[in-house]
Amino acid sequence: MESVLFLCIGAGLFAGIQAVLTPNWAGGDVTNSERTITGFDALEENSIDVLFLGASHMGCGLSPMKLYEDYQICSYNLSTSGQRVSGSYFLLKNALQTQHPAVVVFDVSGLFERADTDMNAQWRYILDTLSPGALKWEMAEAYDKEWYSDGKWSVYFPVIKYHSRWAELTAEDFKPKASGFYYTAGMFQNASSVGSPWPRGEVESVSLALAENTLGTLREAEADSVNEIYFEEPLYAPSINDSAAAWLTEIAGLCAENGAELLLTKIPVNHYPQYYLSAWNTLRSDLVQELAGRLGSVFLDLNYEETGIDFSQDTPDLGAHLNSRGAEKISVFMGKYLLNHYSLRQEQRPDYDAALRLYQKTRTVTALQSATDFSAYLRYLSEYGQNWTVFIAAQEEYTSGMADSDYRQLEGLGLKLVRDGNYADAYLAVMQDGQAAYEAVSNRPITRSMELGDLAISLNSSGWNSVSHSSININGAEYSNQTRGLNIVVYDNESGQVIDSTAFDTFVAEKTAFKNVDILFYFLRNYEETVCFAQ
Amino acid sequence: MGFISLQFFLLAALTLILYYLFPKNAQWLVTMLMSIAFYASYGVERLPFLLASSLIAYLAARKMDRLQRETEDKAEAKKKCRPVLYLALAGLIGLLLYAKIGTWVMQSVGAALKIGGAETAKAIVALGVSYYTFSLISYIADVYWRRDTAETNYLHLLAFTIYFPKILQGPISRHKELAPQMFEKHRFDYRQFCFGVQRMLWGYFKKLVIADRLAIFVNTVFGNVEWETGAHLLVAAVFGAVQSYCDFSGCMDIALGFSECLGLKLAENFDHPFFSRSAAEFWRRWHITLGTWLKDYVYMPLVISPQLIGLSKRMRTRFGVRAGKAVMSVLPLLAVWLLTGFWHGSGLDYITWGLYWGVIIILSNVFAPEIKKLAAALRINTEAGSWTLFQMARTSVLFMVGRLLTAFGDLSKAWLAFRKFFTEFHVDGFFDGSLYTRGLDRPNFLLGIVCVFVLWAVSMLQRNGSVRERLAGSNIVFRWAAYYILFFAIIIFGIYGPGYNAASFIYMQF
Repeated sequence: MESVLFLCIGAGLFAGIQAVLTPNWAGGDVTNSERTITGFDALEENSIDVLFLGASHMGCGLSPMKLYEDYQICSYNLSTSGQRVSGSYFLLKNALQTQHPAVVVFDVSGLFERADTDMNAQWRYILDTLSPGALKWEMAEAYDKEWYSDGKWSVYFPVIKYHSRWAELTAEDFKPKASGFYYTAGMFQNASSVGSPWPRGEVESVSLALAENTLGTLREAEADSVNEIYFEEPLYAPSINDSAAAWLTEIAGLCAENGAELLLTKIPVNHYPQYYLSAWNTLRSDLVQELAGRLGSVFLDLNYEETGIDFSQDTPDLGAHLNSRGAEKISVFMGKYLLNHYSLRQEQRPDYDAALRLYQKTRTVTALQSATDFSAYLRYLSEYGQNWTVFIAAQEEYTSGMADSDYRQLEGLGLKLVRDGNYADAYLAVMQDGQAAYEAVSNRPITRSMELGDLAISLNSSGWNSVSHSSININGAEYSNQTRGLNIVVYDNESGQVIDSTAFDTFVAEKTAFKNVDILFYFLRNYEETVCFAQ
Repeated sequence: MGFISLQFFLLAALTLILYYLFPKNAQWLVTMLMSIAFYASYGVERLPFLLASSLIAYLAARKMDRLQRETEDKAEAKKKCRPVLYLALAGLIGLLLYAKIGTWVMQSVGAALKIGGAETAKAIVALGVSYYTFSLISYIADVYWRRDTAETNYLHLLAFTIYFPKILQGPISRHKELAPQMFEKHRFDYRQFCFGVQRMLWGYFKKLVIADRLAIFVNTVFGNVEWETGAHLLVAAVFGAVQSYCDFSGCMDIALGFSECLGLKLAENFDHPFFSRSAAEFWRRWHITLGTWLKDYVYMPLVISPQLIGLSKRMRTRFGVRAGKAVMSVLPLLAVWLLTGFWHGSGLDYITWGLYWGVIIILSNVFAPEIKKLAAALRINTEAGSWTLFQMARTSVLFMVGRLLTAFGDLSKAWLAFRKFFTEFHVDGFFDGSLYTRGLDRPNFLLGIVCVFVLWAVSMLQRNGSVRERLAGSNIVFRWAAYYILFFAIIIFGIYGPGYNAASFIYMQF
């Protein structure tokens, strides 16, 4: 009896320690795999009509809630970061145990995965989150074949792999694992906007040139001539990975067995092939088209459709992925396409309605964070600012680039003194619940401390004539971008979080936006944690 | 399949289950078959060498046993047995030498004779060849001296020779001690089983948590001796000494602990060596079974050999009593230490290492009276605790220095390291955070130090009696907490799994 009790307590301790040491993939990776997979498990049986699968491109680039909002299509985006085609197969197999989607939409980026790329983490995002069972074991076997150094035992006993994390544990690791419906239905919100600098045509021509280039040249110091060698592989290889193609055939088989249509798609990307393995071009598109033909599926390449994507604004990372705004555009296009080509239910569901309310709330944050246009930004402040406190601090010079329309927009927000500022003046303003609570302009530095509810605020603005500085300090933390022009910080009264910090260089007519992408990412995750996941 | 592998855990569990499920008189068969499976997991091609060695020993012992029974006069019997003994020794040592220097011989001879492909020729090294060869030598020698009886069943000798917990790193078991236990009937004893598991856990803690953690730092520093400071080399030398101890003794704890679960008592190989007050005592506490083997089968036969006795007499006559006595200890000790060096490795560094210890022990023996007089003249209280501490520290330093000789695989690098202690020490290396950039980050480095203190504390407790006995007698909360802490310390802090390339046991290469 004593031994049994000893072993039971030991097993409990082991399970607890293992759970703490296993990374919680709810935010650490770029697509929040844990919430995506556990959120799917929380769906009511047979409640979705469309299932989206793929890597981060799909995870960031398609919003099921937008589909629901506009077309009442219930869908789920089961994409995870760097999802391999084999991973998609196992997730689909898992999904088909409880759902009977009419269409499975698969982003084909993974077909071009390179065999020599370390994708261990991408396997683990899924494996560490899947519930124990036969399917997990089956996936562990497949993992074992590819990542034999880890071994399948590290799947069932993750402590084997993760025990060395003891030194890097944080409070997050002691939180319970995510559960319940994921309010985005799997889509990963990425609000920031960092435009792609490369025109589409240039990406296309460069990748074509690289794909043809099999010549290697070498001029050695002691050699008189250039040594030329032809290689089998070109610099940019657009070929489909054999193993990935085989897994896609398995996916097509699963779909056929379960009466689901398989739609292959490619979420738009616009990145250079030298820098990014998933860069896209017509070569790849043609290859997938050919493969889709062999599988009897349709391939919808959204790179070459009129989706309305603007890569100067709709991407958070130079064109590698889409941000939430871009995802909404793709979702609108996809919704129309799906309704035109497939027979889908259009119905309202209480769980989707509840999630949509949260999604719409978060959209106000993502819209603000992704706005790089000064006028659009002010418009969002005007539309959504009822529950926000907005702090504005000018630095160095804020007047030279301002147009009359800009002043009128600001005055529309209740800011009466902003137009009074002269060249290199300091300017401070606080707006609360859509109204100006404090405003000051001066040719000398302005410093203001105040208390707003629980907030201890300390503000500072100084123009070029003094020390060219700005500060927006809330409860001891500095939030101002501290760059030239108007530095704006937005605090959400409901969540008690700062949700945005942007500086517009209003010294120049372009009014260029400066945003710290990492900080905005953190703000958005905090907002989700407080408002969406706490529900 | 090392001791740190899932396969080993499964094999060990299966062995335990079958061992106690099988009829008691067939338990040795279970251990033998499991041992063969364990051995074969390293490559079936190694197995014939072990089978050949054990067969040579078996046949020789049987032959000598028959000769001894057929011949009444013991001296006459011994004389008749001697060729058999020498032949068997030649066979066993030949196979050992093949494993040790076979590759070098084949490649050198091949190159000299210009035989194609000779440069890639490689001898098959039988696993644990040194350990089982020494065991078998002791077996036939003991039969020759009538201290042991010859096995009549070859499989019995094979079961003893191949017994898997000891095959990798020893201990070097004596047939007359282990074999009778193996063929006894063993009932499952819960307390004994628990004690065995506890000892295994302690072994895993020493190996995975301490030795392998410190090894990361030691290997990083020693691997870059040209660029390291004396301060870092000093830390690596200290860590290296603890690493060697924990690695080897940890493996012994696993082997002895598992055997305890089966009701078998293997010979102890360690007895707190860092508490030794002299070099000679250190080697009586470190790798005990090798030391006693060398004493019984090399040192003593040399001491009582007529040639050495004759030489001693001549020295006594010519140079006095002390010289005669000195010869009796110096020459056998020199032979023993050269052999010890060669046992550990055939390179010049190991020979130097053997000579280093040999010279230290010989000098302390020969000049023992002078040292005693000097201590008295300096009025050193040799009974004081502080003097004991000094002696222990001195012995530990001697060990560290000795280890440095072989740590680099190149004597010139060892010399460089010694020079750096005096010319490029850079004391700031202790405090500027650079210690945390040598493979172990700050938490892991500090954990390593904490674990060394835990090791020291447990060793202190062990000096006053069995820790396991005391733990078994304590209240349930404390007892269980201790077990859980030990187990989860290994699980959490152990260096294993895909995140690391767990180092194999140091002494496995012998």
